[in-house]
Amino acid sequence: MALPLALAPLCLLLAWGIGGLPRLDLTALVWAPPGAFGVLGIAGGTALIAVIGGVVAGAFGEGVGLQVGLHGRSPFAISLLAGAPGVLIAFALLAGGLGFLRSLGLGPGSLLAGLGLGVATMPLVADGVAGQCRAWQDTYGAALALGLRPPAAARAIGGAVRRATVRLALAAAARIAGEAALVSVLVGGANGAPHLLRPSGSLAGTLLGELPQAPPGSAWVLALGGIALLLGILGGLTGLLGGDATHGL
Amino acid sequence: MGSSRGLARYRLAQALPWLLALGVLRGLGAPTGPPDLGALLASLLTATTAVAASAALGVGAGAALAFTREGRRWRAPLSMAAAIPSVVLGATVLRWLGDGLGVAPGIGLVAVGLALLCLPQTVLLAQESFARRWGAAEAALALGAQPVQAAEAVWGFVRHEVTGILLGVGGRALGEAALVALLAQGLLGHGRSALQAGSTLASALWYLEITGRVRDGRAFWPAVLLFGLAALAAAGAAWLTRERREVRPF
Repeated sequence: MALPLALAPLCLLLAWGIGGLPRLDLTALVWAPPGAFGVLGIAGGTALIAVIGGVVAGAFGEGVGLQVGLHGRSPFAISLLAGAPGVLIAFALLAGGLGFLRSLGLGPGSLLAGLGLGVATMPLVADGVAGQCRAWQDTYGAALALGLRPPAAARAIGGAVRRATVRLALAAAARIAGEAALVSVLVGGANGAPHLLRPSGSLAGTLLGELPQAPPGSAWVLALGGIALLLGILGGLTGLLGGDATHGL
Repeated sequence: MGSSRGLARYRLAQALPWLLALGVLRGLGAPTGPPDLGALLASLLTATTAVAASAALGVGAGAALAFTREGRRWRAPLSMAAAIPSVVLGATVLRWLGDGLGVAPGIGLVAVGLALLCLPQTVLLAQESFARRWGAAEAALALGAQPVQAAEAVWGFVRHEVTGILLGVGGRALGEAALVALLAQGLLGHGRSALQAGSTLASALWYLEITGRVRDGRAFWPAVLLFGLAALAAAGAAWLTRERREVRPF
């Protein structure tokens, strides 16, 4: 019973989203329902946030993962960050650091949303890197035993670390694209073209903000189903790409 | 590996949780009234429902998958289901159960949504946990133990981990705002207070954020309670799921 229940949302999402995809105008910038369903602007905003967040999560996550995996340093502070809800991170950024952020010219926009989500998603990358450290250590030892010089062995391992980090950062970016509550607050919620420092839109924020307003059975609801399916596909890819590392997040 | 750059990023990342706590503390201001017990109760009720459903269905399914050959086949679809963004899951539940079957938005629908959100993740984590300890069961069976005794041996190993998993799942359910905001629509807006019974701590905080009232004293209690509960859940989950080593002093 548990397995059909766990997989039921996937089937329901497919049933809703497949009908909605043709309603989306993939070449238009303007999302102005109930008349215009151009997703290029909000999809671009989502991509911008995901790229910034993925880079931040990858950079921090690699450092944290290596220290935790190689030296067994206590990751409690990181666990605390991993357990912090997105709304709390948004609250800390907006309420606590608002004056400081504004003095840097950093109001609501894709940059702020990307930074916030990068920090929030960093534990995903750190967990994945830390989990693979033991295997890398074994490979390093084997390379030395086979007569390879330490710099050459380290270079070989460094390549594996970079590849794993990029893979996990991509998974983090896909996860970021589906985050709604934090994004909807930090990105500002406009429907124009994406912008780093000005309010713009995102797919998840649009879904969260507009579904309750859309009349049931309308083209608007179907178009939102298309957006939900796009996000669901991204999320599914995250699950497959990130593998075990993404389950704990 | 383990370079000074990695160490610097680790140190910087270690500072982030404290910056978060500092940001929350700086933004709190003075409370405008007593804590909203309705939002606290709704948070605890929905999180408990999600944990109970996950414990009843997810842990058993995870154990069954760990000990059967078919278990590996289910990992890919379950991984995909576990990675569905919460807003997408909330929208799907609202579309089919709310609009389709006429179930009224409210705490009941929120609890169903949260349970569906947490279930695949619990199954996968429980499966991993049980599969890691499969060796203990095999050793017990090889030594002539009955299957029930072998199951007890495995449970002895994984019970802390499973408790930690459920605590982590509960922490995620407590902090979920997007799904709650979608599935408790009737309880947010429409002239009602965001902090009245029915909305959870996370959704109440989110509502104050999107309406630009984060420095309003009404954000004090939801932020403090949510931070405290999330920190407790994260600390408990980290403690219980840590690698346990047998320490024999003599």
